[in-house]
Amino acid sequence: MTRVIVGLGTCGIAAGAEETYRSLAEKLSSGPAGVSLGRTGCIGMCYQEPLVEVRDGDGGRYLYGKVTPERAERIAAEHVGGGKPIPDWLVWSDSGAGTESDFLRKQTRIALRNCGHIDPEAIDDYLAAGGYEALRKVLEESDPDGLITRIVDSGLRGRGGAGFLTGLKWRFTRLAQGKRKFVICNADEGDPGAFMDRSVLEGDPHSVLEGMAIAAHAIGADHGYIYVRAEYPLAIRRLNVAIGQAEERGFLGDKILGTGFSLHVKLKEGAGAFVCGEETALIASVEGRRGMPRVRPPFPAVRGLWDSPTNINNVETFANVPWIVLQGHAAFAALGTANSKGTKVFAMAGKIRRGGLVEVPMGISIKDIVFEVCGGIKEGRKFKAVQMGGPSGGCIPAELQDTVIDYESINRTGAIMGSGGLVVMDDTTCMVEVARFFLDFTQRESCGKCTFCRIGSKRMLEVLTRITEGEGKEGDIELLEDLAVRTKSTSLCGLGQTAPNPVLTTLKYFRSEYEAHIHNRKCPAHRCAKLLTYSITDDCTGCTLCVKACPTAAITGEKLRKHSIDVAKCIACGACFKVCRAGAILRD
Amino acid sequence: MALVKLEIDGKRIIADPNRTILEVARENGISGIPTLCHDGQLEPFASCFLCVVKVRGARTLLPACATKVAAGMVVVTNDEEIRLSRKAALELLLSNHYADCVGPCQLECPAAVDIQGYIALAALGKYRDAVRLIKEKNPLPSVCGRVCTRPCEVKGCRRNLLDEAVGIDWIKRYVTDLDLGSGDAWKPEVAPPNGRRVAVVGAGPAGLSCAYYLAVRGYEVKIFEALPEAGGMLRYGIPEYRLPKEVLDLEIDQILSLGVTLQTNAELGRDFTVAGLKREGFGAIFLGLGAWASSEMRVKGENLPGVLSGIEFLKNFGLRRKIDIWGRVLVVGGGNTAIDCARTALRLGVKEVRLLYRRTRNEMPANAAEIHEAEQERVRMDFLVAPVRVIAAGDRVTALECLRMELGEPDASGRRSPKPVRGSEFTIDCDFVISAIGQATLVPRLLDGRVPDLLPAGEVLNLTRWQTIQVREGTGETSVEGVFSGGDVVTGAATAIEAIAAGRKAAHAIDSYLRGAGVRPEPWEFFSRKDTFKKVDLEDLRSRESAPRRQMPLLSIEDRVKSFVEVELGYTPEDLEAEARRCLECGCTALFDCDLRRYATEYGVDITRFLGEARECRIDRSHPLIDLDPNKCILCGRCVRICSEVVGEAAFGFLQRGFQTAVKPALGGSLLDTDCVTCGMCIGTCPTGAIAEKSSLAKPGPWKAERVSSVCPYCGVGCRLDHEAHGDTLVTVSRSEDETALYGKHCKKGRFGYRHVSASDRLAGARVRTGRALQETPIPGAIDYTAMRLRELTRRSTGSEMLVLVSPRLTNEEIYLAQKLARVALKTHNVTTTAHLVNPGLPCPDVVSTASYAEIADAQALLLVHSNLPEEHFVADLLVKQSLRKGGRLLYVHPEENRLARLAEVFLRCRPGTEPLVALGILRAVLDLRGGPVPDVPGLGEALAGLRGETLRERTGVDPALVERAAAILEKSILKTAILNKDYRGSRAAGDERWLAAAARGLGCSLLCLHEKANMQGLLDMGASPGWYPGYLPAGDEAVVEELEKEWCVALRDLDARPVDVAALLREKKIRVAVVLGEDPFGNPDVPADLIEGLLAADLLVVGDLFFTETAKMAHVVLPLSAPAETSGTYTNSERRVQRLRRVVPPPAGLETWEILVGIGARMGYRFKMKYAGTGEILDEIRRVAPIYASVDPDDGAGGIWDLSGFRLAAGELAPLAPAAAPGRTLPLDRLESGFRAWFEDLMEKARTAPR
Repeated sequence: MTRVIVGLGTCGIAAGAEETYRSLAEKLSSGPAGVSLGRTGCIGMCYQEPLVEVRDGDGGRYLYGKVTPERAERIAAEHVGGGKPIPDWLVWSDSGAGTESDFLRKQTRIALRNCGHIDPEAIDDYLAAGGYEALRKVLEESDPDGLITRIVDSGLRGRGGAGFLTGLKWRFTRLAQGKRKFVICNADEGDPGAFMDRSVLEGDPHSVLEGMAIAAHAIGADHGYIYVRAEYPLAIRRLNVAIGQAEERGFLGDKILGTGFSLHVKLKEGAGAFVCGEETALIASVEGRRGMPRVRPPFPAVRGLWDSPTNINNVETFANVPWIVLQGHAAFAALGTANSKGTKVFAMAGKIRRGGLVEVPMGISIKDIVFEVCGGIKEGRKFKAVQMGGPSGGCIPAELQDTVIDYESINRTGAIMGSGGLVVMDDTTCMVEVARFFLDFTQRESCGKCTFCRIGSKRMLEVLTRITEGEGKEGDIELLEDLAVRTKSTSLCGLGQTAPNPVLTTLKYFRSEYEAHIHNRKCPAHRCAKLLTYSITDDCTGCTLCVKACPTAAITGEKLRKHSIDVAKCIACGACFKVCRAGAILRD
Repeated sequence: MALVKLEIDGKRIIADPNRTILEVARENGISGIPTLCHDGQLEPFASCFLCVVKVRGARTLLPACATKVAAGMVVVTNDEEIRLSRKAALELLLSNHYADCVGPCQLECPAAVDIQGYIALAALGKYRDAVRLIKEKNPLPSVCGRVCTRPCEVKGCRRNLLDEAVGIDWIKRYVTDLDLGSGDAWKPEVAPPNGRRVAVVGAGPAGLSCAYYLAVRGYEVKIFEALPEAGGMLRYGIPEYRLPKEVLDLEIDQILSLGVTLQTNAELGRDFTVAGLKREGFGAIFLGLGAWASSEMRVKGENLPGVLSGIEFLKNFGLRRKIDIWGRVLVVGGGNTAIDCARTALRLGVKEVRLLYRRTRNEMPANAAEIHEAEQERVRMDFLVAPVRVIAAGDRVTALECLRMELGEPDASGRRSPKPVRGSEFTIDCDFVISAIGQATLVPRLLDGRVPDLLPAGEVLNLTRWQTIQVREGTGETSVEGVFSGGDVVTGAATAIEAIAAGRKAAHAIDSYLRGAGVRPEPWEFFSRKDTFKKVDLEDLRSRESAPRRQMPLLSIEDRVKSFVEVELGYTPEDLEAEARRCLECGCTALFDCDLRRYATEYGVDITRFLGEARECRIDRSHPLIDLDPNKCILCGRCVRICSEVVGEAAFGFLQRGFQTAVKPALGGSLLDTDCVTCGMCIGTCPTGAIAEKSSLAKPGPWKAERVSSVCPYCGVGCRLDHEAHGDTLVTVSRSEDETALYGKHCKKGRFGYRHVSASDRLAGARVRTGRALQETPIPGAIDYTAMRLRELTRRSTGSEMLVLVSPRLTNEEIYLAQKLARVALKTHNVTTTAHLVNPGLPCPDVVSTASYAEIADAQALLLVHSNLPEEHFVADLLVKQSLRKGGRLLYVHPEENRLARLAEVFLRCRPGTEPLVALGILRAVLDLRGGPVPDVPGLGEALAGLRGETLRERTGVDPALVERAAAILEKSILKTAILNKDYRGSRAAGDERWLAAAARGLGCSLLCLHEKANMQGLLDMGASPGWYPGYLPAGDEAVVEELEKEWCVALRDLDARPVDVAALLREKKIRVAVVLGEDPFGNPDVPADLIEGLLAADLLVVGDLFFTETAKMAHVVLPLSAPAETSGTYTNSERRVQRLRRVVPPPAGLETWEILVGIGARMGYRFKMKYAGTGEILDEIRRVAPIYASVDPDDGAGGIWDLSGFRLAAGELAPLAPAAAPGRTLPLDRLESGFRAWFEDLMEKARTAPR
């Protein structure tokens, strides 16, 4: 029996997968019998959405990319109907064919094991893939301490960013005194450009629920919360569906699988405050208070939700748990480096050819991710840096591309592993602007409590802004460094402690760009509009296109003669540069 | 938990690991850790990051306020890195602090006088205090009030944007003239002589100022003056009509009267030298030599007769030398000297005066007002004219040749420089030319080597290129060791106020120099100013109304030009009041207690370092008592937290995120729209001026107030409150500095209810009835009269015909004296209070607290009966909430569901009046649980019989299941307390308290009896009852009487000690003499008419009160009592804690209540039996007389609770339980409380309905 599966994650839907699905549904309903149409979450190849997989009756799997409704019709007709795959659109197949096969071949998928394969709204799909077997196993063993030891031994570290040993966190919560205990899944994925958690929740919600149930059993909790941002409506919908199904089948609720263990999971929608990803702020928000971090210790493991011991893990962490239980902690620990085990999911964005979601084993180098997995830089430009860890992270320059992915190595560069945002930059990226961009985000998202985070980051932003606008002053770099270091060391929570990272790492690796902005009033990457000057070279053909494009009538010249730009009138908008076909506009 | 050892700043400390580094450091005397967001009453928060410290091994600095101590910790609280971090935090906070610490007037004043402060004092009529404040910075205010160039007004005053500057200088002149003219002018306190001598050379403003501030510090100062009289330019440069010499003399005399000696006609270089002074033993020398040389015009013929130097002209006139001047006079120059010369010449009778100035009027450096006055006096002014040649006929001037000028481009100083117009020469005929184009110093002449031995050997006095003495900024230190300088000789011709400032600053530097601390400038102070962020403009003042400036009354022009009489006549009191009202109060009222500013000063912040965007917010004045200025908010969240953590409300909240984060009333509206209970706790915790009390005074200050710890006069909770006074004015009341969780709290009455002290209707004098009318009488006379009448009536009447009523707001000492007066002089035991007169069954004196507040806060279970705490005892309610937060469980017995009911774990809603039955029902259930016997208390067994199940429900309306739950909780708890309000206003019977007390005892609860009046417990303790002497010593006990006779030295055995019903005596009109202290039975609708009539029937009714009450109106004698804030003494609160009251301000009548009572006693012939040097001696006597008070120490913060073991009152009998059907009559509200309520509710009502 042939199965046709459409990727209907948020990325797919955004690319038009619903139309594709409708078109296929129409075609297939009138086509050959024995063909079923299904849906799945994101497989990670976001740059190729909409994706459609055809699973032949004989087990062959063919993944088509950029499947417009028109292409869908042809696939339905020629491949499903005619049994002839269309190699031109094939991005991957289990036979090794396909233009993008490198993308998947170099990955190791644990957290994403089911994403892009199963129907997230069908618990049976999950069960068929071995779902809830881990929970069953754990409950049968009924040995929370042994379980915790195995999780500790697996080396699984928190995938939310801080990288604390998950098993240890469980142990602290288990040992803490408290009448009630809670388990919380932190699904407040807030880094701009990061969507690992969303994809897991949309593509494989049960794995998270199962991970939570295992954790709850380990620590002795009977209530759980999933704190998920309200901006993820599809994830929320699928989670609700999954919770309903799991309760119906007895994987959640009272007396799970007939044992004495109960777990009630509730969704709590976050209102979009980045800081609520911080665990104490998250707890405050769940309790109905303003999301504001508090002093730790006491840590949530000791005093968390409603003052009770609480274990908080992020989505990806939980998604790893059932795999570890079933495959064994040794299998997990076999992957990765000495201190960083298993895999890590990254959301690849920026000037990269294959942007999307990848799950790679720890220990892989940045270079391999960028070039091997993701196919290198777009338009063949020069690789300049990667920004890791979202706005809290830092920039790692191309010179350090051999750095391997593990917590300690990344930290040494000044960046952080973070939750998995990875933005690739080429030589057209201005690093001052990058720092400004991320700082603008974090300073807006500061909860406002700590002086340095609230005002210090604002002042840093003002300095960065004036540098990018050509108003930089002597001493600005020193001022930035001073503020950045102080903000890092005198903020209560991770937001403030890491907000200066983009500034510090760009200063560390790209100081000359700052200096060029300040001393020479130049932006080496030609990004900062206010620092650019435009002039016309002898290549000018006098086509007058630029004259028409110029909004301030700064360009004059006779037809077919070399034109010139009146610097006094020019507002450096770059319109002429864009329209010139002769490459005669010199931007400096 | 086991204690831990750690080290802070090298000090080894043993501490509780639950405490934070900050707490532990402070407890161990390490007080240097700054913090803005910490408050001892609140949970650690850590937001300001000022308290950062270094902990060995930690990667970053840690906030001391939120980091718990741990074993082996090594903490450093201050080093360069920490200082830099704190400084950066402050600089960041202040980079977003759009606010003024002081008004721009003060910042513009060279002497930095607290202008807003003295205007506020002047507006209050506190002229002397205003003078004192001015003289902190300027010892010549009366002079300055006339001649100052007023940068405060011209450049400083924001009113200039709106209409015209406030008449700051004229206000100053008014208050100082009044002070100087009073014959008893204010004088500073002079430190004892320190034996060091300082020479001041030159008695001008700089020298005089320097001498003053040195003399105040105890130096022996000698001034040397070259001219015949002191004053310098003030005397010889400023004409009489601007500054009368007698004013100058008065002010100089003030300075000399501090012990400063003055030697005139002594000129440096001629009569003495610097080196000589040093040899004579002057440790330091101040050179205030002035700038007495005239600048030359540099034109031909300048030295001809008839061409005069302006400064010489004025000086000769000042020296009263004969001056021949006539005809047409030309004055060249545009400064004040030129104007002075012109106006002086006019007064000398010349025909015409013309003033020539080379620029235009706009550029004239002279004061605009003086230019105007000169013009009024018909001084003709020619602008854009410059002299080029003096034309003479023979050897006399006949004309001046001049050139026309035009203005060129602005020069570096911003002034447009004049340029000659070619060929525009013209001549002006004249008889005299006075050149007043500038002044220079005479120092170069002094230093040209002609004076031998001028300076000590090897020393060189450095000059600037302008030939003025070179000094160090801020100290006046010259290049010669021990020689300082200031004034015109340093700056060139400048203003008096600059010279005064320089003299003062030099005095400070000389002081530090002579004390061996090195030459130091006056300490720098940080001031935030709005103009740093954005120039304040008219738009910012849109809410202010325009009001024209009160102009200075002037002598008529005709009268002016004829004489040298002062032109400015001075303000009238009405002018002063109106002008003071015009002050916009730009400065912050928290100036003197703002922690942010204090730390900014301490850490020397540089506000320019992080300047950037600053939030500008609207100031919210919608609440009638609390102003919110979010511009000053530093987001420490203390208000948010104190409101939620301590008060249990949520009036404030954080809004928005990032840089835009703000603390605002919840939901962003007005405080009036929140659950704010107006307790004012937020004001007390705010570390800046962001939350401030709307001042009760005419102007908001700022007041540098003295804090005096005293006790709240309202309820029996007895909160300690700090009273803040500026001089004789009670400025405000704030929470006690004691930051521990139990104290430092208050309700709205305590916080805002202090206004009665300075109420305009306070009784300030005594009145005695003559005929039908009450006549104002001096207090001594009224005391004499009272004593005389009492003496006379005691002879004619028996003790049973006497009555003394005392208020439970009097102090223990006052009540003690009142009862002593009654028993010793009036021979009666009839001492009581109105409430007990009206309802004799109420006091139940045998039911007293056995619990302390600490027990409530720590209790595991609380049984609350006969009380609506939030309404009646707000702070006790806060303590209960504190207990609940810690896990305490509340059992609440009450007929109505109120806020407290919602907090209760078990709310036992009963029928009104059945509360004691419910409590007994709980006891019954507990006994059932325990299976124990009924306590052996007479009557209790019967009362408990069958009091369970449906019977209980029938009798009380309470669900028996709830009673069982309550019983189970109590049975499980070890620390448990029962709380009751002794003055409960709901339905109750007289004996209820005894039943409740018996139930509490049976339940194993300690008992807290709350009183509604501040000293009701003390009133009973002090024997204000016919039944017992102080300390509950039975009136009829012979041994007691014997002891007391010894102590009091009077016979007491003839007093009738039989039980007596005072109310019955009144009803039967048997009372002949009634002394009513602080009570107003006539003004109280709850007092039955027959009792009133009984009082009216007395032959003598003496009433003492704060106000002219209804009772006072009917009295024969009215005596003005002192308010609690006006006397020292003690109150005994509801936990039996004896607490100290301190006198904060003097009583309006001058005498304190105890002094009046002592006076009456003395005049009645008991001088030695009622002789006390102060209230301390009265308390000593109380300790001797009342055994329960023997060991009481009101100054022992933790102790002070009287000794229950000496309590001799037997438990009262349990009367049969009879639920009261209707609310019982209890203590009525008295004038103090009803006055507060009416005032408060009216304020709130008006604010709620006011347009916003």
